[in-house]
Amino acid sequence: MKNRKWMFVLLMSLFVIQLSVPAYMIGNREMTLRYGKQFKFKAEPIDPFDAFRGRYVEVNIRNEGIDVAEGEKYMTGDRVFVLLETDAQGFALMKSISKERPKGTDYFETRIYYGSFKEDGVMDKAYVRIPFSRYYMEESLAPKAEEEYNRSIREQNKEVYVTVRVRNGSTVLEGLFIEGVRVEEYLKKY
Amino acid sequence: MSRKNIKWLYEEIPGLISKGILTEEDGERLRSFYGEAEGGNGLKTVLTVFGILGAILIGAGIILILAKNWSEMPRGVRTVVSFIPLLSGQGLALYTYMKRSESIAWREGSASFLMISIGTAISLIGQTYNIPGDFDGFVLTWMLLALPLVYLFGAAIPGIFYMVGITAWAAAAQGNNGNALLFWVLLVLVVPFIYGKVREDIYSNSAVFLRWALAGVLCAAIGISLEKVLPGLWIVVYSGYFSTLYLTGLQKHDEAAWWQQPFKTVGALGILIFSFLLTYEWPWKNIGWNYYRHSEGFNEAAGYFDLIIAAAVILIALSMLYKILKRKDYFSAAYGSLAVVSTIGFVLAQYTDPVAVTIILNLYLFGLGIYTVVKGIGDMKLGTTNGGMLIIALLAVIRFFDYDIEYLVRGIAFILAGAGFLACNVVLLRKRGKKNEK
Repeated sequence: MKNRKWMFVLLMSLFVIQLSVPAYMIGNREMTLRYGKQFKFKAEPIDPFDAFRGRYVEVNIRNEGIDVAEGEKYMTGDRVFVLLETDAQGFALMKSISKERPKGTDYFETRIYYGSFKEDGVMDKAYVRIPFSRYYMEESLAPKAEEEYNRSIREQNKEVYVTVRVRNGSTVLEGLFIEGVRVEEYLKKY
Repeated sequence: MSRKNIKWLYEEIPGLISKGILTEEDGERLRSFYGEAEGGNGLKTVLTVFGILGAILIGAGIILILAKNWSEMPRGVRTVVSFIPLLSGQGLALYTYMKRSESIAWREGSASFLMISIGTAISLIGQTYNIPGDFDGFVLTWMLLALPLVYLFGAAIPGIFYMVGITAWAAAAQGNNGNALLFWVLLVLVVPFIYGKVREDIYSNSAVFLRWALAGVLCAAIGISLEKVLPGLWIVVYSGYFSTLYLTGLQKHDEAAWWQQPFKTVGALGILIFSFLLTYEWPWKNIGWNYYRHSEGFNEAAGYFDLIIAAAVILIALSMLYKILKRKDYFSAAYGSLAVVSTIGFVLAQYTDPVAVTIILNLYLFGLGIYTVVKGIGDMKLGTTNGGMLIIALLAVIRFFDYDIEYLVRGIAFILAGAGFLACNVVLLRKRGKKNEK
């Protein structure tokens, strides 16, 4: 019977851990959404042959590479912090990368996806994995939204961007906008 | 005691009673001590299977319904809804633990349902907050949160889910610029459970299914986690793995059906299929130390781990072979010695023409075929004889259409093989003639 009592304690602890992981995920994102600073990231057209479409829009954030500071060495796959600033047009700018957690500025944590290298083999431009590349929508709406997203960028050269909340290195994609209008509203209007 | 033995005992009891060795009471006492002979009657098994299937299907259905991301639902509501499957899964599991802990169907079913609902909760939250598809992180979190259920409920189906899940994780992690060494740690976490089930009753459905899953998952995971810095090492590792699996499977009770002996079955099939593959020239080309890959993107430490795995499987296979040879079971030893043959081949391929190695492998497989035929005849088992014939016939067909070998060489080899068979026949007939004379 003593054994059973311990088993019960173990079971209850397991249930608590099982509940606390999703709860932590939610808490972290909620705090970011509420108190995080908002950044606007310009989006680019996506590869139309992505296999996993349907329930979400695959968003391609404009990613022109981040200059690596002189004297710093990075490798593909390194974990880095990306420092964020806002440019004159009000869009987010991935200013620089750092191996240490930055203080006083906004940043997000990610990995180097690939880089361009100088002749001596030192990385001079880093391309990082963007941790906010999916925008989930209702099943029937997502393909339409994606179509509209692509047409807006490719054919009509409309401005498409996403808003992202950033706080203590974590990010949450908040909304997808076409010409300043939320994609959900945009689809209803047109 | 295994069910088979219990069944035998039950068949004996009436005879023993009639001969006066046991009383009626003794018989009843024996029956109540050992329980059901058939592992529960048919109905009980059907109830178990249906119970588990039902729980899994309902769990999957809930995922599909909730995945239909209702855009009308405000975020707060969606957040609460994410917890509903998880909480109901836990409720069901708690009920099982309190009231139904004796029932296999309830334990397997509710643990499976809870396992599925953990994945559902995490992925629903991912949708609500647009968390991108970090697939390996997702699966790893899910599997670790679910693993204790396997032990607490003694549930085999979640154990199998877990093994498949960590293999999927390994595939994603290896492809994602990383390495999958953690897979082995994750696998070790479930081994005591499998071992326990096997110790309890090696032929119970749980133990059999778990071993099938383990054999299959290992087969995939070896391929995934090898860092491939040493070209051709996969030949040694896979040969060693299949030999070890086969020889381990041999250890106990040979009277069970093939599907009840997953290690032996997968091992034997693996040995044969892999041997066929190795009779070609391409696996033996450009392999070995001279082609060691130093480039960036290969993980040095994981490369060493490859060597450790190779050494481990070969050493285990060798020690098993030694045991089998001491038992004078030469037939099983012949199958299990693929590990030795291909390790020799791997070493030879560094110094000689790969063709020389393929000749060794062809002879090995040919010998295996003949030995199987002879063994089948000796044991009067038509299935074994035909199996051996099939090996030889398949090998002949493959080599007949192998355009890498010259016509003349192929022709001579076929004639020699054919003459060999005829010579065998003559010897066998003479032997029988002598027997008849006696």
